[in-house]
Amino acid sequence: MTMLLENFIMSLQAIRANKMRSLLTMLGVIIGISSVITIVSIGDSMRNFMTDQYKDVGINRAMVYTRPLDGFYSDSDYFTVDDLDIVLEAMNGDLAYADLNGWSNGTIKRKSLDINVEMQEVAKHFESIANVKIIEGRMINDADINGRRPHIVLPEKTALEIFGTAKCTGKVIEMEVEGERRELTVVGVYRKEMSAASLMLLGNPTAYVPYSYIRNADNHMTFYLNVYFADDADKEAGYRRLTNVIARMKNRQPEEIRMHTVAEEMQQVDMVLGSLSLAVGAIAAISLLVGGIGIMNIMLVSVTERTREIGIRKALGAQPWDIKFQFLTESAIISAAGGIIGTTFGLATVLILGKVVDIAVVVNPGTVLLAVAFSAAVGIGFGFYPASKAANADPIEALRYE
Amino acid sequence: MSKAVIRLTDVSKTYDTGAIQVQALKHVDLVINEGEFVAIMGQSGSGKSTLMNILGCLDRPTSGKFYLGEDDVSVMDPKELATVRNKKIGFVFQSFNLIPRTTALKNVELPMIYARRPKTERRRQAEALLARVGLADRGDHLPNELSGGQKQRVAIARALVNQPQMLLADEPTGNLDTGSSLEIMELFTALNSEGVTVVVVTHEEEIAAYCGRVVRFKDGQLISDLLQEPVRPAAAAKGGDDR
Ligand SMILES: Nc1ncnc2c1ncn2[C@@H]1O[C@H](COP(=O)(O)OP(=O)(O)OP(=O)(O)O)[C@@H](O)[C@H]1O
Ligand SMILES: [Mg+2]
Repeated sequence: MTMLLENFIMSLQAIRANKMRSLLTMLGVIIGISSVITIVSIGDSMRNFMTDQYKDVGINRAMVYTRPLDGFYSDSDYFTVDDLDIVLEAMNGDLAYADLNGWSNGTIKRKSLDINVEMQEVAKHFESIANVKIIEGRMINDADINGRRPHIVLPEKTALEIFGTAKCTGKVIEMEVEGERRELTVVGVYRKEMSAASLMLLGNPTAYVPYSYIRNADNHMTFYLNVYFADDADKEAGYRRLTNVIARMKNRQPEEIRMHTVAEEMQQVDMVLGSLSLAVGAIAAISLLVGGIGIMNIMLVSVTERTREIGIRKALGAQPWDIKFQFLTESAIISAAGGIIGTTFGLATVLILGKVVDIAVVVNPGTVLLAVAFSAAVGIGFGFYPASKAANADPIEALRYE
Repeated sequence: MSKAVIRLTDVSKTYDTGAIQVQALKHVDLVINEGEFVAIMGQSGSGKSTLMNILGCLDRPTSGKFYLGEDDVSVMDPKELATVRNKKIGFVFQSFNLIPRTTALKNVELPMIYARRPKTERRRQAEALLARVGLADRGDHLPNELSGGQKQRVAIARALVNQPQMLLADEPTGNLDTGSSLEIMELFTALNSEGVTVVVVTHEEEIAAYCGRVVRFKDGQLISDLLQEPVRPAAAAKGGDDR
C-alpha cells in the first residue's frame, strides 16, 4: 500500500520533471481515445436517430405489391378501393389500417408566391394510427371518408403560411389539384416537432385529405397497398397471412407477392450503420495503438536516461519488482491521464456536434469505460517491456552507466 | 575471537572486455570480523573498487567463495541479493549517488521504503539520522542545493537508515576537502564504536590512520594486512563547522 503511494508520488515527480515530453506522449493516447469515443458515439447517435425516424414513419407499416408476370402488369395486379375493405376484413383485426398510398399536390394561387400543399390521401381508421398531435379541431375521420367530404387537416406550419394563424378550422382553402379547382374546409391543425435533421430526412409534414374526396371515384387503382399492422399483432405471422390473403385475392402464388416492411428496412439501416461505426471505430483504435507505441518509446528513453538512478535504487536494496512497478506506474499514469483527457475531449466533441446538427446524442457508458480501460491497458502493456528492462538491469552496470 | 562478517576465499575477478581480459582481483583471501574498522589501500587500478562492489553484493566474483556472515552469496538470486543490500549493507560512494530532484529527507527514506517500513517510522528515522550527521535543517534541500560534504553526509545517513551490520565506503572522501574528510572519518569512528563494521577505501594515509587495520592491494593481489592503533577523533584536528 505505502509502496503504491510512494510509486505514485515518484512517478508524478518524474512526469513533472519532463512535462513537455509527457504531454506529447499523452497526445497519442488523447487523440486515440477521443477519436474512438467521438466516432462510436456519432455512430450510436446516428442509429438512435434513424430508429426514431422509422418509429415516426411507423414501425408497423408495410408496403405490399404484386410482382408483374412476364414483366407486364395486368389490371388485376392493381389495388382498388374495394380491395381495402376485403383485406382489412380478411386480416381480422391484425391490420389496423390500409390505404392505396395516394399523394396529391395542391397549389394555392397567390399574387406573389403560390403555396404548395402536399396531401396524403388517407382512408378509413386513419385517426387510429395517425401519430401526430392535433392542436386545433380534429383528425380526418371515417365519416369524412364515407361521406367523401371536402375536408383537410393541415400541419401547423402550412396553416400559418396560409392563414397566419393555427386557429383556422372552418376556413375554406381554394386550391388547384391536378388541374381541377377544389375547395377544402379545414377541420383540424396538427403539430409535429421535428429537428432540422429529421426535416431534412423526412421532408415537411403533409396535409391529410380523405382519398374518397380527392379521387372521387371507386375505380381508382394503385400499385401499392400501404398498410399498418395492429400494435399487438404478431408481425411475422401477420406478414405471412397478408401475403396469403392478397395472393388469394389476386389469384396469384404467395411468392409473387412482395412486401417491404419498415421494421425490416430499419433493421437493415441499423445494421449498416452499426458495422460502419464499428469499422471506423476500429480504424480509430489503431491510433490508440500508435499512442501505445509512443508510450513505449518514451519509457525506453526514460529507462535509459535514468539507468544510473536505477543502479542507485538497486544498490539501496530495491527489488526488481520495485523498479518494474515504478516504471509501470509511470507509463500507466501517462496513458490513464491521456485516457481521461481524451475521454473528456471526445465527449465534448460529441455533445457539441449533437448540438450543432440538433440530434439526440447517445453516449454508451460501456464505450467510455472500454476506451479508458483500453488506454490504461495500453500504458501497462507497452510499459511492460521498458519496465522489465529496467528491473533486470545489472546493478553494477547500471551504476557505471554514464 | 569475534564473528566473521566477511569471508573471502580465493576470490578472483576477471573483466572480459572482448579483446583483452583484465584480472582485477587475483586469489584474494580476506576475513573481516564484526566491529572492525578496516582501510583498503592501494594504487589506482589495484582492484579496490572491484573488491568493494563484490563485498557490497553489487557484483559477483568470477571464482572463489564469498560468505557474508553464514550465508554463501554466490548462490543468492537477484531478489535475495537486493534484500541483503537493503538490510545488511550500507554503501557509500565516492560520487555520493543521491537520487536527483529528490529531497535529502526522501533520499534517506528510500532504503526504508524498499524495506516496506511504515511511513511515520520512516520519517522519524530519516530525521534522526539527518540530525546525527548534522543536517537536521537540510531535509528539504535537493541534492544540487547541498555542498559535497553535505551530500556525502546525506549519503551516509541513507546508508545507515536500515541499521546495517556493515558500512562499505569506496573513497567516501575522494571528492571532499580535508575538513569535510576528517568529519566523515570521525562519524565513521563513532559508528564503529557503536558496533558497526566499517570498510573504507582510501588513498590518503591520514584517512587510513583512523582505522584499526589497513589492507593493501597491488595489481589485484592482497600484499599486506596490518593492525594498527587508530587515531581517536579527539586527537584529530577538527575541521570547520559548516552547519
Ligand atoms: N567494468 C570494467 N570492465 C573492464 N575492466 C574494468 C572494469 N572495472 C574495472 N576494470 C579494471 O579492473 C582493474 C581494477 O579496477 P578498480 O576500479 O577495482 O580499481 P581501483 O583500485 O578502484 O582504482 P581507483 O583507485 O582508481 O579507483 C583496473 O585495471 C580497471 O581498468
Ligand atoms: Mg576505485
